[in-house]
Amino acid sequence: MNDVATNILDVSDLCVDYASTTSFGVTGAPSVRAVKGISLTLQRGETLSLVGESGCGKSTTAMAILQLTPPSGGRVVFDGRDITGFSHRQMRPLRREMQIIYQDPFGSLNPRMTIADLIAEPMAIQGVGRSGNERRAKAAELLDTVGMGTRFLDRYPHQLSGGQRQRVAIARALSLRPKLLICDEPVSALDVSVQAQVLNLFSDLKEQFGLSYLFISHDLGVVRHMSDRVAVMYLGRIVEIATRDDLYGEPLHPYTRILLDAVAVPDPQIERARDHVLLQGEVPSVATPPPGCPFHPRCPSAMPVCSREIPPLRLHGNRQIACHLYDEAAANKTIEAAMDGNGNPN
Amino acid sequence: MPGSLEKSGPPILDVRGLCMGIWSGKTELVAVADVSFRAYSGQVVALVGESGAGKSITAMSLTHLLPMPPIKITAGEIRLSGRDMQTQSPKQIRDIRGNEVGIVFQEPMTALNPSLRIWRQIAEPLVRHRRLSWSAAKAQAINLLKKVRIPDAETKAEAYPHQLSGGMRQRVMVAIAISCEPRLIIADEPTTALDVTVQAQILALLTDLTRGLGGALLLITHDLGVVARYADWVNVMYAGRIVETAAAKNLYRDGRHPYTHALLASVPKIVGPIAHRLESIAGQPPAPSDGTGGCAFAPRCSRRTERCDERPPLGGDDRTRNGHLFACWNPL
Ligand SMILES: Nc1ncnc2c1ncn2[C@@H]1O[C@H](COP(=O)(O)OP(=O)(O)OP(=O)(O)O)[C@@H](O)[C@H]1O
Ligand SMILES: Nc1ncnc2c1ncn2[C@@H]1O[C@H](COP(=O)(O)OP(=O)(O)O)[C@@H](O)[C@H]1O
Ligand code: SF4
Ligand code: SF4
Ligand SMILES: [Mg+2]
Ligand SMILES: [Mg+2]
Repeated sequence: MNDVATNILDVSDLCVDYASTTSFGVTGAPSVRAVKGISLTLQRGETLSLVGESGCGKSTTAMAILQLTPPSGGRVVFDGRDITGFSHRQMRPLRREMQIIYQDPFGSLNPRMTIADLIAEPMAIQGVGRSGNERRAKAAELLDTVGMGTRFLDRYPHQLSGGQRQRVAIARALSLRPKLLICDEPVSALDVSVQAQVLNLFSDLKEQFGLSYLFISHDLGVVRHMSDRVAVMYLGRIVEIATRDDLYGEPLHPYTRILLDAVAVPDPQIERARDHVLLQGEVPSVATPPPGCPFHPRCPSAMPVCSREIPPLRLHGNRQIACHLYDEAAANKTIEAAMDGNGNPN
Repeated sequence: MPGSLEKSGPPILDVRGLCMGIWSGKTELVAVADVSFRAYSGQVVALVGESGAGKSITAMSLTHLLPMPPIKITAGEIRLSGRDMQTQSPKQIRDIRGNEVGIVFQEPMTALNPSLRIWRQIAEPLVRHRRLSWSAAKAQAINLLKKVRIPDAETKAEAYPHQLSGGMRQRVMVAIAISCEPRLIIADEPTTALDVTVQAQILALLTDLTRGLGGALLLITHDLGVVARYADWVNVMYAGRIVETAAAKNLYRDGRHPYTHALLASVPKIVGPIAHRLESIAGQPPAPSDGTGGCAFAPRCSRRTERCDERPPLGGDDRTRNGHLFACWNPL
């Protein structure tokens, strides 16, 4: 399963630091570790989602995989090549193969370019296609692929709806025939009816082009629909990673459980029957993470060991979990600690 | 958290035939047409629909917060505890707003004053409407912060808005909204910008407080899950009109309007079977128009017939009971 040749992406122990800032700008203060040792693999044709609350490091992980934010530790292997620390120049030929789609379709499209030029631009930069006309023809074909007519070719982004702009962003990303598409909240700005159209488009394109997706979303319904596997992040770490069916069928990490519980299901009968555990408090800052398990101040199952030791991400059945509840050694230590408290000076 | 469908006494909020126009510079477009709904004591009433449906301007019209021009009320009646809101003077409206009606908006940062300490902003309506002294109002502000479950309320009371997280700021907005024990709370997408865990905390708080005060909550959202969890009564809006209105349990189980169905089918859910493809609705929600023409959903509707060129009235049939109404010639 960890065979490099079969994986499109292999990320190991990825760390990202940001210079800590104050309202007066960058200070000499120590940097903040926003991503703390993320390891994941993405097989060809697979969709892996990253979920978690705002600020947990999903986008930072994506940017570091693309080397748009320099990783401060760990390794990123794309399609068998170690690209860790690659410069913009070194990354340029690889940009064809790994594309990103952002949440805000408006912000990511140059308002002064026509749709045809926007879709053709990456091809022009990469020297794909012999002439402008050939690229325009290709742009027309791509517009068709994403379900928009060629009548949009000479329009400008502001003349399109949010869903149409996101389709253009997808056409643009597809123009270079990428192997990996990273989607960072690609439907969060869209109305549900339009969101469904774009999600269906992602599913169709995956089949049509054999794409692999790293899919980032805070919407757990969307993630369930789109993913083969799901990684749940909390405060810069993965806390649970499992197949879609395992994770939604039986969430094991206390945070995953609470996250799923918080999602309101559009069915009053189910909702009235559910018993909700409201999560207390809010996500702590990555700058001042609590000691031990980062989730322990909010965790309903926290034990003494949780505030002392960071639980590593460990294999548990078919999935990986970072929680002392699934860690026998730690459970024994808890007992020892309790016994120590009964008179044995440590 | 079962709410109530009982109508104890007259409605707190009674909106009838509300119409609003937007002056586009050349013509007047219809933004909201013939909107009627009521909210009774103890109820959570939802306005649900996609962006541009007219939810926010409907909410703003209730307490005279519309940007006028370009938007104005062209017809209809709004009654709050029996009083006709359109005949109230600006002073009377100021006395109602923040006092009888509490308001929570999506983005707390724009609603809070960045240069005033938190307690001052909560105390202000108490001083203004309840004639409390500033020191009494401060003590009450700290109580309210505790009520909305802000940890370490005494310290947080002294903070400025930017020093709080988004979820905390929204709790402060809730504290301000409930400070004078309003009869009606209007919450326009109160949690859309927040994480799902914080969203659940705030909505539970808002609905509990509403029911505790015997008031009504008008909950405006595009999230059908949130509506299912919290609302007693639901109004589905499309293109400025209510296209279906029913008790929440009836709407989800026995929705009759094709738009309601399509909307529910297009939401990917965390439970139930996973369809390979989501049922999507072709096209996009329409922009305001001159208000003529037939059913506004027709260009996207799979059940459209010739008759749909004529506007369907909001009504019921022998299958609907208890106020369940829909506007469709070919209901499901
Ligand atoms: N200040 C304004 N000037 C002109 N048109 C406006 C103004 N505010 C709202 N509108 C228009 O009125 C219609 C209804 O707007 P409203 O904001 O009430 O919808 P909504 O359903 O709440 O949308 P959203 O969910 O996006 O906030 C929209 O077509 C909108 O573009
Ligand atoms: N440019 C930056 N400078 C400093 N801190 C940042 C920067 N970008 C992100 N962060 C911090 O890194 C953490 C992770 O952010 P991000 O990756 O954007 O999370 P998400 O996408 O899950 O919302 C957050 O605490 C955020 O404040
Ligand atoms: S390690 Fe402890 S605190 Fe962390 S999630 Fe598991 S039980 Fe909760
Ligand atoms: S009236 Fe006609 S077009 Fe409108 S929703 Fe009903 S069937 Fe569809
Ligand atoms: Mg992000
Ligand atoms: Mg709105």
